[in-house]
Amino acid sequence: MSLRIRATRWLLGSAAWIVAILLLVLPLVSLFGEALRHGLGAALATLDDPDALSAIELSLLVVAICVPVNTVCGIFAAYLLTKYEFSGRGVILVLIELPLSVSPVVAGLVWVLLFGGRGWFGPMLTHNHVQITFALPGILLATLFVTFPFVVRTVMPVLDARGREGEEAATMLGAGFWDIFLRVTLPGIGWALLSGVLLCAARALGEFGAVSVVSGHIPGVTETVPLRIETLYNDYQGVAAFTLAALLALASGLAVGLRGMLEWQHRATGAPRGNAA
Amino acid sequence: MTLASPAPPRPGPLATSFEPVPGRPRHVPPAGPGKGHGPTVIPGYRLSLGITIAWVSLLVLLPLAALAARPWEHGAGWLWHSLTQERALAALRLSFGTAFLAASLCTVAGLLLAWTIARVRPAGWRLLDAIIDLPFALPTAVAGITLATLYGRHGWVGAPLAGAGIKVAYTQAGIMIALVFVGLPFVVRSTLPVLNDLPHELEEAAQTLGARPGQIALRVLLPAILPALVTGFGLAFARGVGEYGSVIFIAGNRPLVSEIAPLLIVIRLQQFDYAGAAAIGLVMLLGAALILVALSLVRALLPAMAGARQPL
Amino acid sequence: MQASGVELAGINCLFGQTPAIRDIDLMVPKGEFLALVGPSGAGKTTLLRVIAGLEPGYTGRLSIGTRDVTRVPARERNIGFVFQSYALFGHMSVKENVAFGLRVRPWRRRPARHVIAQRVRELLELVQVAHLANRRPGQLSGGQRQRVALARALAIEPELLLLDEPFGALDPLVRKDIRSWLRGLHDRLGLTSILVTHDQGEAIEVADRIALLRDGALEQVGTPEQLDRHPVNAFVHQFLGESVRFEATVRDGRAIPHLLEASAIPVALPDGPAVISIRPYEIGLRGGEGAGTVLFARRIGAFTRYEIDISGRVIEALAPAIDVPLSPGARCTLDLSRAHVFGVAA
Repeated sequence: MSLRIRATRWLLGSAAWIVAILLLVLPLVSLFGEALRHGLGAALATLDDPDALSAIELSLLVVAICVPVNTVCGIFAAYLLTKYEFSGRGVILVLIELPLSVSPVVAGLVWVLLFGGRGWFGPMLTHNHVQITFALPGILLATLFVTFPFVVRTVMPVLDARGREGEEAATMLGAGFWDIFLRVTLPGIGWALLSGVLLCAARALGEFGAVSVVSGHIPGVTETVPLRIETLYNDYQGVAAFTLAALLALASGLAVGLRGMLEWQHRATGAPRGNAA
Repeated sequence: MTLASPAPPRPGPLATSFEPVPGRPRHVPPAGPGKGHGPTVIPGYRLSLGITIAWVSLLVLLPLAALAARPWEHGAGWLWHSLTQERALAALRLSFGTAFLAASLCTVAGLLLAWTIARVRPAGWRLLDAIIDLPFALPTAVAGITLATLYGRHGWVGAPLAGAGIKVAYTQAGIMIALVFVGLPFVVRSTLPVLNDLPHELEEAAQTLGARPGQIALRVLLPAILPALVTGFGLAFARGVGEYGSVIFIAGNRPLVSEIAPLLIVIRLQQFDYAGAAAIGLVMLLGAALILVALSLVRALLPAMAGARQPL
Repeated sequence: MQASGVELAGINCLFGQTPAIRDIDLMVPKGEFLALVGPSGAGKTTLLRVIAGLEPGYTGRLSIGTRDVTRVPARERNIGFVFQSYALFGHMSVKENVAFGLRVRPWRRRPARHVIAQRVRELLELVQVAHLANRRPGQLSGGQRQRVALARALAIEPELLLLDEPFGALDPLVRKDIRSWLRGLHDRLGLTSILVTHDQGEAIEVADRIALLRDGALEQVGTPEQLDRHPVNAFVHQFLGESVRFEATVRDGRAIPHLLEASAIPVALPDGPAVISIRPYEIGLRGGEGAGTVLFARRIGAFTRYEIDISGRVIEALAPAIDVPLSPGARCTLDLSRAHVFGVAA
């Protein structure tokens, strides 16, 4: 009996590892393998390409704009949704969840429908010489859409668990909104906020489908890193494509890994700190 | 990506030595004060409401309004025609079909992984646990070119398979592989916490009642994690329907055969067929919403079913 | 005429459609320690939060001292509030928690940094946790948190101190200690305090007066002694201590308990239904013939505790142990002459 159990456990363990290695680890190894096919020097040399560098610049710019916008708005939304009860709260909750179940391509499509050449506001924009699709604003909007829910969704459960008493106590002590918001609410959600921000940044950096639809793929101008990877790959520049891909994977993996560590550490330290719950 | 977890139990009312006196109807307020219910005087309502409404309206409501309205601009007949074109039907069938199959595979593989990590704890299980998140960390385009190369004719996996006469890349099998890759973490991440939280007493109680390990797994543990498994399946399915970046490199993109719905949207946009592109987008969005609604209904029914099957 | 600490006039408060607070008029003189008691769901905490300004949407008039604060927002009411869970700020040290109320003042009224530090030190000494100034709330015991929450509430020099079940989360031993300490502090600082508790024993021990709430309305306000000696109805009598209750009928100036016709009591009530309420130790037992049968008797200290069957209903009675004990099976009559009798309005 015990032997059979041990055999079963061994079998399950091996099966899990095999599945994980085949399905998950092998692609990762292959990614770096392809990048380093001709050695590290050759790989790094491919980065010395003005279009690649401008793609990196653009991607960083997109992150630098989208993450703060969705973070600030996300915090206010989480505050609103956890501290108050009002009619229409459910609608806002659903709308916040929606971008998660929308295909990235649709996330790009919607902006073309609004601001593209034949979009609702297209003629007006053309008339005023404002370019949104096939330009930076379109890329920003598409990225804002796909990264929309991350911060608000990580912050909300934490704010919810803390209840309202911290804010009420601060009110009784004479604090106004900004004192409450900045000194009581925000410091209490530190780790969750950081976790949401990292997730948002990773997604903003790596978004492909949505940006691909609105960007127009103009090398050196509207190509983000993922789009540059696509261009290189389709040009049969394998090493260059995989080097940039490896770089992107490292950056994105760093953000996601850091977030995992945060969550793990928070869980390890146990119950929420303090007692303003 | 964060998964819904059950709300923490609220503390019940304090017990008192008091017994209700008949004569006057006892009145119980709907909710205790200050427990996060009802109106509040905490400042900042207008400001946060204003910011949230502006943010949600501009970034979600307005775009979705365009998506909902534009398919109809040439009339319902045109819309029907645009959606029932052979190419559109094939693309939608492919996207929903492969996503369903891939999500099913993810559920099997994900259950194996979650179960093993939680219950068997094999050597290196912490590493295994961390590896699960790889697809979350890998941008879709990166995953796409990597899988296409790995399973391509000259790839590490593709070459031996080609030798055996099996072609993966540029077929529907390739699409499945990409979708399993992106969907797997959803199943594991929704199931693993539930498995970890299952009290060991549950198994021990079953053991003391004479259940064999197989019976325990099937009749005690599986029903308990079924809702989480359904959630994971739904998330993987919904994600797979819309998946683009990781699929297009490996799919081959032949119309009617391996052209996924998101790609058809891109193609229609390039042909300036905005209404046609929006039509497919709308169907995909409604499909994804339907999946999530259906699964939450299934979850709502599950406890009763699971309870009925439980021998304890 | 005493100076008014808090005055409530015609306070009503709705939770959705249900009234949570109904027509409350209450005057708390300056310097008084008032306990708001009542069963769960009676509206004690809601009333406290109305006074604090934390429940929006109440009607009526509310003044603190000479100031009408009905329309004054919570942050400007200058009320110290100690939450049931203490609601300490987990990310701030004890020192910072106590200083918070002073630091968030508009800069014109904000004390200088060293003045704040000095004040915080004094407060922490006052509540006897000066040695914990740099700890986080998470590192404190329940009793210590309680003291810090109190110091934080006192930092803004409130005219009025509100305490919501402040001893609820403490273990019984600490509870008794901190209760008398709190009462001492109240007297020393000349505060006006209102305490919410569901524990009538606690209220009796610590408060000058007790306000008893039921279903959002005030049943009776008075000193513990007044409530015990002259309860206005059976509910008040029963809430203040263990009691035995008999349904009765008043006829010709005598209240006749059902099943116990022999134990009728003279009363000054009109004819009609009534309720007799009596403490177990006020029931007089006489052996011999009677409607009661002793089921169980046990001497505990100076008393003997009896369980007595009256035609199927079992009641409890306490009799001084010096009396001749009745053994199980013995029959007895019950003397209810020390009971309170309340007419039941039809």
